[in-house]
Amino acid sequence: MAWQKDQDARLRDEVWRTWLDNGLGVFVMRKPGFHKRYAVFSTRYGSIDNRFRRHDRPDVIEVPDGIAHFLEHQLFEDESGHVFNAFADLGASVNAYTSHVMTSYLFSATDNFPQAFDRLLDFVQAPHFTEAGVQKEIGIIEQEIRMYQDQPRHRLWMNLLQALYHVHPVRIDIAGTPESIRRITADTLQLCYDTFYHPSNMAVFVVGDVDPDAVLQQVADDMAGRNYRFRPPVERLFDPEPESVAEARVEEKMAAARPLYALGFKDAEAVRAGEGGGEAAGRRAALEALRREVTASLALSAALGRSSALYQELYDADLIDDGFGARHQAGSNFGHTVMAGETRDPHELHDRLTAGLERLRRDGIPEGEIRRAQRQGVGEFVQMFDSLEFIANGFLFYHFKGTSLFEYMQVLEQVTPDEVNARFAEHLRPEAAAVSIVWPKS
Amino acid sequence: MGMEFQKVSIDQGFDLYVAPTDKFKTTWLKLVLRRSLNADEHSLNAVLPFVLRRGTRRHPTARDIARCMEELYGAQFGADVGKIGETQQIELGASVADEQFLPERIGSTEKVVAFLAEALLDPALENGVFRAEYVTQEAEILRRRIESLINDRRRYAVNRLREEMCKDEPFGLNAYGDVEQLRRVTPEGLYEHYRHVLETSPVDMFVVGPVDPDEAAAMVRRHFRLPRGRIRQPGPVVVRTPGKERTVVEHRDVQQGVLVMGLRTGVRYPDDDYPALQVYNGILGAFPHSKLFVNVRERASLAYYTWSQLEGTKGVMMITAGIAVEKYRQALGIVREQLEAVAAGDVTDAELEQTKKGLINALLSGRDSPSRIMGSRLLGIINGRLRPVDEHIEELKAVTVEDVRRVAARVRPDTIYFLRSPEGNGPDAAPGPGAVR
Repeated sequence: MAWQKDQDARLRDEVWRTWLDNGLGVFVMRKPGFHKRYAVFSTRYGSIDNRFRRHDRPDVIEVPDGIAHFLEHQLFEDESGHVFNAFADLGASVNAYTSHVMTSYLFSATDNFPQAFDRLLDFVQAPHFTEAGVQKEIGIIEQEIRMYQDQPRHRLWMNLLQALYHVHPVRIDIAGTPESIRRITADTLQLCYDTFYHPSNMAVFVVGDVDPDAVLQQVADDMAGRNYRFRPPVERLFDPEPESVAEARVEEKMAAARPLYALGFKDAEAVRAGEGGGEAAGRRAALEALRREVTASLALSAALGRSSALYQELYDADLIDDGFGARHQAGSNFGHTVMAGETRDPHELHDRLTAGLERLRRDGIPEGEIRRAQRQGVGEFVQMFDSLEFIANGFLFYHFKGTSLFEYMQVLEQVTPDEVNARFAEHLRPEAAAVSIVWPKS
Repeated sequence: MGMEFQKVSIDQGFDLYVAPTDKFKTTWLKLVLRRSLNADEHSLNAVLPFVLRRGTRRHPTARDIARCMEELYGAQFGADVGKIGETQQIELGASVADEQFLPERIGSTEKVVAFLAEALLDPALENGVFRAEYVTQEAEILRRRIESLINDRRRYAVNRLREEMCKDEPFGLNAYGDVEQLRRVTPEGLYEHYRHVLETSPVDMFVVGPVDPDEAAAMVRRHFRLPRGRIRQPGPVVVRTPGKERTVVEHRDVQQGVLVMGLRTGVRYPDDDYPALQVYNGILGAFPHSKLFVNVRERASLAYYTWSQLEGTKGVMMITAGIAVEKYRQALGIVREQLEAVAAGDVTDAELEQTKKGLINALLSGRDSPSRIMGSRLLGIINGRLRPVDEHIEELKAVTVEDVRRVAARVRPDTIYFLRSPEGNGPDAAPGPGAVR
């Protein structure tokens, strides 16, 4: 259990990392002077992992949509009462979230850190699924789903993902649907838990004014009592996803003040990288994926950032406002770029935005703009390191992708304008695009 | 344990507050002009920072400004308008990575200070007033922003409750202005107002980060030449005692109903009883261990979210829950039971202690957040009472159940607002008199 220490020369922050025998990754970053200590316990299990095969069973297991998120809610149930109370007794604030690719449980505390950390380690590893608990949760999660269904931005986004993907489960709402969650049972939750909540699929990150050795000792002591046995990785199953988009355009009407517009581009290279089962094929593939992510983000920043000619043109034409933004997102076998915002005229915005992007694809983004985007990226990255939440969640996110948040920054500084332009031309192809529009219902 | 502000008086009604610390890699700056919130000028105040953000004499377009910030390694520059009680704040802010973490030293902190001065004092003009294009466009964007509130059902509902409950009080005004007034903002009128604002507003500047206070003061003195006239401090808030409870129901095409209850607390931020009010609010609904969360969500499964929140400067508390329309009466009944339980002193030791610890944890965590460090000082300035974190913690620790009962007795429901779909079996006009939409 010796520490490996990664230091970033620029940030002068250091991440200590190690692996326990049972496969759990343990990470610590010291932040002297901070009052808050922040801990995250994550599993590489998200909403897209709804079909899989275990090493000990020949059959393909398919589970209801939204079950990873449902499971996250249900871990807060325990035999003695509610997990929230255990943290409240310590003055700690506990929470959790589920994404497409991971589930994270976290707390922050300015006092009683070791006790709260014990409780985090414990409640995530001590599930208590009952039919009564499941029934209670259905009502709550149905209201959560309806809350999201009432958000025009959420519908815009979900409709776009459904247009971009034919079969990949990233097109399904993380929380599932009111119908799918009714099919969830205590037994299925237990099966998913046993499959994905194994230390070899998990990691812990602690950041704040803490002693790394004490943190590691605490994790090791906790795990020593839990008898995990070695297990081969679970096989996550995905149907082959075509490179083409499923639909070029999706429109919907709902109560909204103004039209909302989103333009998405399916990332063919990211989809292709996942062929053959969807597992990241080692370190080289992970670094290639990171490079794809960084170059795509830089291209978007240079082409459509606040200082770009295209952004200014659209803003001056009153087609976009501050809420307009573009971002790239990718997992091991999916990836896309989304540009979205409110607009007075989705059709005019579409015409001018796509024309502008085509122009840049043909002529290339000027080198100076890309260099500026890199400078901006470096400075913004430094600023983010004042946030303990960003550090912990960011490191875990890239850890599960087989890279590191520090490497993101290093690649950001290394890539050349030619690479960024090549990526822009390859990724933002008109035939890889889909449009989502939400119209106000009068 | 502290990160304390050092206060430096720069000019008449212009104070600089610097909190030096090495724990952040970023320097955060915020410039706040305080105005009395009132219908005569709140729309003009709202447009102003957004027009200032559009261009300066030296950087006449938003693109020039963005470029300048990006060159300073992604410095962030922003403008906003805020509302605390019945004060409206015009705000310009920036953050910049400290040079020790950047590839080169280019004096970026001072450049950002200089830029803030430029944005405030040297705007892009045409014919001696603001550029017409910027004024028209920014007023229009604000108008849309107000109309787009409906896209966030909960914020919309809370805002509608505030409007209904405080119809005749400044607190009922939207900090982003009034949609009709925004149509009538002219470059001449706005420019005249701007000159007036510069001369008469109290101005506070906050700096948090790895900076030396003397150097920061010297930078601010070098770059800021504020025209100063007769400074007008915003007045005290209007305090009302509620009459008969009103219910307002609004129909929109929504999937989920949003219930909001507005209450008057009688106790406000500057009062000695304010920490007891915070504990009251915490026991009732500010945490996942609170009565609302436990009873509305965990026991009855009626909601995903249900919270209570304080606006301590005004003395208002709001309770919200996202529920199915047909569960309106049941949810409202449970909310009332919780209010009665706290008022009757039906509070366990665990609830009291968990709440105090939760509030203390939030105060201490705030010291790790530059925006909360600046925000809590501003809250103190506006309320005329500073509550240093250490003292505030001691005050919270001393609160007893008896104190909670005493403040609970002063809390009175004023208005209930329900956003709902036309379908379903919920109430059209919920019980009680009042406007029904």
